[in-house]
Amino acid sequence: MHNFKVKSLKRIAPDTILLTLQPKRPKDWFQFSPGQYVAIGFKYHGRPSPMRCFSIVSSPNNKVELQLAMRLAGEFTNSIAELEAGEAVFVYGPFGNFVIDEQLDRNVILIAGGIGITPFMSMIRYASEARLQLPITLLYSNKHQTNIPFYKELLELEQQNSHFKAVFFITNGGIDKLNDELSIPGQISDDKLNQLINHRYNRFTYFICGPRGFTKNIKTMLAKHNTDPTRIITEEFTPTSQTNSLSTAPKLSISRMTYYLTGASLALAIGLIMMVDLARAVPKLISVESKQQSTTSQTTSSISDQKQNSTTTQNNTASSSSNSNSNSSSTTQTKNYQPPITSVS
Amino acid sequence: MERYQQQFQALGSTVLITLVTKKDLAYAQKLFRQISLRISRFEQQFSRFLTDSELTQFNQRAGIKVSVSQTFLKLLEVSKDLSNSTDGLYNPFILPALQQAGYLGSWTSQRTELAINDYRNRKTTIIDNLIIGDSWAKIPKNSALDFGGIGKGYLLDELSRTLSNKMLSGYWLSLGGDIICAGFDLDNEFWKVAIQDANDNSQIIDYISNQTGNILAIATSGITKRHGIKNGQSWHHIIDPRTRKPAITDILTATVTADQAVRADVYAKCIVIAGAKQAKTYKRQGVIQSFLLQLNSKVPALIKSRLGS
Repeated sequence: MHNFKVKSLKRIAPDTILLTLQPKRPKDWFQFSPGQYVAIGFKYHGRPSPMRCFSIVSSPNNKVELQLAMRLAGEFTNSIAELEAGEAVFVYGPFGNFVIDEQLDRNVILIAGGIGITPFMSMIRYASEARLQLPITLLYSNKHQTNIPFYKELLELEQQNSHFKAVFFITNGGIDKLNDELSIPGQISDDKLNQLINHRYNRFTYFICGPRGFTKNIKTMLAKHNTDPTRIITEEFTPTSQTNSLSTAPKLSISRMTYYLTGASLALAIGLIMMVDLARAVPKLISVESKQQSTTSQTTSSISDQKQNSTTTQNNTASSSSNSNSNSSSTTQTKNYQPPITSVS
Repeated sequence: MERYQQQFQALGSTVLITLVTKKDLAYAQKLFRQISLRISRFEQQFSRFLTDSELTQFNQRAGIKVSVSQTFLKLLEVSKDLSNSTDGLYNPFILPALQQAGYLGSWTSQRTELAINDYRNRKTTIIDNLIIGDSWAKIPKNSALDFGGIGKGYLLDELSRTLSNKMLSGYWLSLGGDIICAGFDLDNEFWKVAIQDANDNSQIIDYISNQTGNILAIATSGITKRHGIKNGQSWHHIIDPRTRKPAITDILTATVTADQAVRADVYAKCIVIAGAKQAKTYKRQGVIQSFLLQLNSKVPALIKSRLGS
């Protein structure tokens, strides 16, 4: 756990706040990658609140502040909005693999639905600060033109970083108050995506973050155009209603969970993520060993598998013709085999 | 015969190891562990993104005689030899100029502590100022060393030597796109190494084979990867030591084959700096085996010698 305190709270859109935290002591600071998230909690009338996950908005280059943005959509986030400067916030993490891999992702399209912009802000800020020439295109969908978190900053970042382009989609109402060249009325549709991508779907890596329905729609569109599934990386969140553990504290309870990642309960998710991250930190041959014991074929479409730090595949032609189980396994494993490609080192 | 492959991240890039052997999985696992351990140790020793690496510590003590490990000493000697044989086109002191041009850290290198690894206020010096003793070395006070690509090449050669003594019918290793291969794939097929299109990384423009099964090292260098704009001026990470600025070159990428990965890496870089003519000179001199150049022109163009071994 890292001990932080509130530095400031700022409303950046009608229903969105930017929470800026400072580490209490230098040792409470931690390294993170753009796109990762943390779990936070705080003391609410002297009692610990539940923990909730939020993507980090700030760039890792900003080593004095940790910024999180959240939509005010429940008691948890509304309670955060009431915090005052100096109040303690407990931070766990960072977590997640929703990060750009410089080796694999050389032309990136970020697709955000509403507050799904948060992990992308960290990526775009970092890329601009580091002056990376990584081409980044942001497709950012919001309901109303008057409620676009980080709109001005994104325009500024576009001016600063010639490799970054943003396109704003407004699903309800006009776009007359926005920059004409960058704004499109309506949802991100197949036709619009086609125009932007120019039918060259497999030239890009897609990072998608938004509500579940939004993410699913975009994935369906990309799949329709035979986009390589390993080029589609998603992070979902959605409002939900779950009673939290503070029900014993009358009037002080926070009864709605407004944000969750990966669909699991938070405590379990944190535990699992920590274990997975730990496992990924050390190159292992688990996948081969497990294959020997099981006929379960290794999936090639799982993004989490693709993002692992260490994977092993085995191609066994000797056994493929004599054993049906091996044959089935071998076919999948052959797909996983990566042939040698020389690239700029 | 079976083919095993392992992938993991190290040295700020993707590492791929592929082994073909009659031996069982346990044997392959043992080799994978051995290789990943060696790579991990090498990174601990030579990464400039790690504050406690031997390289960082060495740079921190620039100006004084510093005791160094045998591997460090060997890498210094190889660097000096290659710098001399390329008339200084390869220069391990280029780091300050690279950082002054705009390259401070890579996307994946979150470990970068800029305060410690910021050498922008130091100077790029000539190779003669690298003094190598029996077990020590010294560089000028205001300079800094970086082994960059040469380190990966050196490591690939070392790993290849290790694997050549094992019971393998073939193998290939890739460290961030630098590749060394030997022997054969399944069914005694030659290893076919694909070359990416410099203008579209999803496309392949050619293949290189080790048609005799001998060791073949392949490296690609170019201006298409680490680049950006600083103060309105575009920069890339291939610095010309003669001007100490990003090289003005007619080449987008140079792919070079050689008998050693360290050579392939250095000469690919030198060709990008010196231009297409230099590639033919190196080929005539026999220091490289073949090359393929993708030119920096409005119309995509290639110059290539005979590829393969």
